[in-house]
Amino acid sequence: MSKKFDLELISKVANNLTVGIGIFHVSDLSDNKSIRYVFMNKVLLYEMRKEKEEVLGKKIIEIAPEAYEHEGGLMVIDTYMKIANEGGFINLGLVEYSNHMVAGTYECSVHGIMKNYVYVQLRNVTELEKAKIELEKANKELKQFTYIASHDLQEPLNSIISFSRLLESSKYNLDEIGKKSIEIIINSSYRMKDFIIALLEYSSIGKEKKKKKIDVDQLIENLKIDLNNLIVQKEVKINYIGNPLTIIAFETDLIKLFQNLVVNGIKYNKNKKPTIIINATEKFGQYEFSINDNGIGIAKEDCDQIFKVFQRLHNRDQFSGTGIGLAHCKKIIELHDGKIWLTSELGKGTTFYFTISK
Amino acid sequence: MKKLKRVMVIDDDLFTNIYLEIILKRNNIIKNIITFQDGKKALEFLAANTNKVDLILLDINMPKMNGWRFLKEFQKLDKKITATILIVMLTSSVNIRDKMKAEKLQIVKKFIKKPLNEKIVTEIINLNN
Repeated sequence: MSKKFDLELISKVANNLTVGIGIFHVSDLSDNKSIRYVFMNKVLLYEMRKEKEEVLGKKIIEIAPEAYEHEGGLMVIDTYMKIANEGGFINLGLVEYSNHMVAGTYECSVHGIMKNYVYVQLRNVTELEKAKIELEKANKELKQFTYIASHDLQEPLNSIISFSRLLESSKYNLDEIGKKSIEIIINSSYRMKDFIIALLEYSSIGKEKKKKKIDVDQLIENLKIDLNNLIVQKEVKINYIGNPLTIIAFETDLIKLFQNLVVNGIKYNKNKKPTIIINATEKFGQYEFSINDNGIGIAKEDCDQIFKVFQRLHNRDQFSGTGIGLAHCKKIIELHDGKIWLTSELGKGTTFYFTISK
Repeated sequence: MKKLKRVMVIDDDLFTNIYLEIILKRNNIIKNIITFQDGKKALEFLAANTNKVDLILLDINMPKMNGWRFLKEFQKLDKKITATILIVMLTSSVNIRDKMKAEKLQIVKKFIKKPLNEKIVTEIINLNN
């Protein structure tokens, strides 16, 4: 066997690598049974469940004949032959390999060293692949569960609300305790309804398949129409001060994002004339938005907390809410490969910033 | 004002049906209310055409045949039966896509989210004025 490379040096470098490295010599480029083991690092020997002395200098057909008997093995051997002849490298991606000792999934690539010599790089990803599949399945089930649970919870709740209202109407003579009870039942039902709807929306993020062109001006105008009652009731001003801008994004998610941030700016606001100022700037690779309000502000130590789901800063009798809104926003931003952050001063107002990748 | 003679309610939720019956009868708005918990039976009733229906209150999420499927089958019925019937969708769904879908359908006169109250029910009944 001619050695035109320093095997000793390679052994020292490659032996303790955490990926499997193996060097092969193909003595006859027209015979795929002529492939011999030249070097195997520790990881690869472990995957083969062999000792160094057992394999080095031997042919694959002698040591691991099963490699010639299944699709995964044959594909790797064919690749050795091709690269030993042509040079270059081929990334085989995930390869299923099995013999009487091991069975699993490997990330595998084959690289040319010189004519007749190749090396293989192998990483056992069996556990990783298994975990990934399980995780995907669990995630899907969880989403489905949230959706169905929140949908089926709606129906009985709607009945509670409707029938409580029937009882409430003056035609029935209720005493004070009776009236108070009905009032609390209705309020509690509405609170629960808010929760269910927020959960339902939270679980449906990412359902949209395709991004769309969205005109930011138009989006804000539509938002004003949707929030008309709130705007009139609290004398709110909403101004967009950015340039005309069209971006590509998931439409319903983006609407929800703006809605949540603007509604928060109005809700957590004790100013006589709540004002929301929205700006947008085009930057390299992304758009940056800001939504500023003249509301109550957020204390510095609370800024990290607010994006956590179900995290609330206020008592329910001060400000109602589910604690889902900003967590929802964060998830939407992540879906658009962006970031969300804020600056705030207590008593003066808050500015939320977020980016959307182009 | 055109007087509604008969209202059909199709909703798998029994309590919604009971609620509608109470409201409609209590205010003496309509005497004839027929309720179905299943779209198929409602279709059979309509096809038989023994009793004329003026208004249908239709739920979306129902087992066996949902509201959308019902609408498809409804459109296959004899136009002589269906031409004068108003359809209002009544649902617990908060999915914006359901609302958009309903708005695209010409035969759906209105899309209403539960919970119901007397005011909403009165509005529905006055739709055909």
